[in-house]
Parts: sequence; C-alpha cells; structure tokens
Amino acid sequence: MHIADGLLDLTILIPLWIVVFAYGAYSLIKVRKSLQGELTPIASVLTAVVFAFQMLNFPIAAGTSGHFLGFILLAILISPSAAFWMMTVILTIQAFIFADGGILALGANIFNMAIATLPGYLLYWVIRKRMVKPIPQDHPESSENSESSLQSKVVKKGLYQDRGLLIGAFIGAYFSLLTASLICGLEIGISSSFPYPISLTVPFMLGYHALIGLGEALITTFVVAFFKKYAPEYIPNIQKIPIWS
Amino acid sequence: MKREYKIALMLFGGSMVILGAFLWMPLYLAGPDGLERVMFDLTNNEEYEPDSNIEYESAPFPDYSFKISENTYIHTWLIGLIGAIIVGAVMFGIFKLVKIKHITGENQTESTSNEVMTN
Repeated sequence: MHIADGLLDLTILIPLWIVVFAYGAYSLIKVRKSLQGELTPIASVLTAVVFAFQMLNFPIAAGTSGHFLGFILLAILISPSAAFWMMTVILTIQAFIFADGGILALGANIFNMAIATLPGYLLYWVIRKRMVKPIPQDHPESSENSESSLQSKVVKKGLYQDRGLLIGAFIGAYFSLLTASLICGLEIGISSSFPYPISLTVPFMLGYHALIGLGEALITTFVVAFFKKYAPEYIPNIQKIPIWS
Repeated sequence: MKREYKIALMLFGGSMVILGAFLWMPLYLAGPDGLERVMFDLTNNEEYEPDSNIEYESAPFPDYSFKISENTYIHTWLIGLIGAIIVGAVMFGIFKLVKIKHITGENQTESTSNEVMTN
C-alpha cells in the first residue's frame, strides 16, 4: 500500500504532511512519558521484525500479492504512540533506501499506515476490555486476603480470563488494514494525477484489501500469541491497556 | 544474558528464518500488491507507473534488490537482513535519545525541587 511519488497532488500531500507532523509531535510527548526503558530492545527488534515481515508477499488472488502492515501488532505490544514512530522509521527507510513508496508521498504513507489504522487499535481496545472475564471471588485461586494482593497475583499470573486478546488482535488488525485502504482509495480517488474517481478507487482498494487483511490479521494474532505464551510480561495487562499513550 | 535481550534475539532470529524460508518457497509472489493491482486494473495497463520515479534512481537498494544483473532469493534475504538491522538500530537510537532526554529533564526537575527544599 506504499504510494509512489506522482500519484497524489500537492494539495493532498501538504495537508497530510501537516497532520503527520502535528500527530508526530503529540506522539513524541506521549512516548517520552510512557515508554519504559526496558522496553527499548524489544521495541527496536519488533520494528525490525515488522520491516522484515513487510517484505513477505503472500498471494491472494489473480496474481496479486499482499504484505503485512504491522501497526496494530506494534500498538498492542508497545503503545499506539510508539507504534506511530516505529512505523515512521520503517516507512522512511523503505522510501529512502529501498524506493518502496515515494519521498514526497511519505507523509501520505505515514498517515495511511500509522494514523488511519488507529480505529483498528480502538476496536482491539474495546474488544479486549469487553471480553475480559473477572475471576469469581469463590474461585480457589482467588482466595487471598486483601483485594490488592489478589489483583497483583491475578495480573502477575495471568489468572484473569483475557479472552479478548487474540480475538481483539485479529479483528483490530483486519479492520486497521481496511481503514488504511479506504483512506488510500479516497486519496488516489480525489487526486487529479490519477484520473479515476472515488467511486472506482475505493471499492477496488477495499475489495483487494479485504483479502489481504486476513493475512494481516493472522500474522498479528500469531505474533501476539507467541508473546502471550513465551513473554506474557510484554502484553499490557487488562487494567493498563494504553489507549492514547 | 538478560531475558529481554534473549527474547529480542529469538524474535529477530525467528523472523529472519521465516523471511528466508518464505523467499525460498514457491509460495512467495513478487507480484503487484493491492494498490498496484488497483492501478493496473483501472488503467488496464499491467505496467502502469506514476510519472515521477526519482526515489527509484537514488535508492541504494531499489525494490529490495542489489544493483546487479541477477538477484536471487539469497540477495533479497540479505537485503532484508541489512534493512532489518538498519531499522532496528535507528529505532533503538531514537528511543534511547527520547528516554535520555526525558530522564535528564526529570533529574533537573528533581534537583531544582531539592534545592528549593534545602533553602
């Protein structure tokens, strides 16, 4: 979904650059407040992993391929604001070193893949919050003295039934790709450089990305499941899922 | 070795193995992606490209390939490895910079408040 230079008009690119700069500054403030130092190695490696996974082109239909986007994965494991910067670094390096996506169109690509994908993260957040099932008080493992010690034990041992984590990751990732492709379709549809209207670009974009989204959702769910099994401490617990941090 | 570094190493190694395996498998398809397919379909031109192509000429590894006559999957994998290392290193640097500045800011605030309390 990397837009090349020459596809979008400057009248579209400039406002998108402004939004990206404004949101980038806001995200930086949030990241400085919320990012824990010990997350730095994992966050950096995750960025590299998403870059590598973006190179995996999987076939969908009619000789068309899809590739991973990764914003929801990064947002789930680190935070949406950090994910914005991680995606920005990936897209910038892709544009300058690998000619994947235009340099002028970089603002549009960052907007599409790191801001327009935010509704997918919100969906994940809502699903995870809604689907959590508290452990009943008479449960044998919850028979602790104080409520606070129970809380910490439950969180540490992952005793609460976090049923929404993988479902939320799957649906959120799928939805994020759809919103990104919808916005991308709108952009190329209103651009005079690409002489086809929104009524054509949007359905075509959504159609192909409805299939690619399944790959996105599967990869995201697989990596989140890996973390859930082998490094659950990196999955924000249900009480502290970041929404804007 | 610290646990976070072990997990980071496992993730990085795992992703590189997956990338290598995927590039080698016949399942890999370097065909047009969703956006390119939309442009091809609408223009009825399988080789449609926007007018400007500056980034392609100036990039060191255009289209994830070396500027040599024939690139195999090993070359693509090597570029993936180089790219992943660059991305990881840049991100690590940015996060360290952000956190160092943050900590310095906190220390300054703390020392100022301590001075006020001493006075």
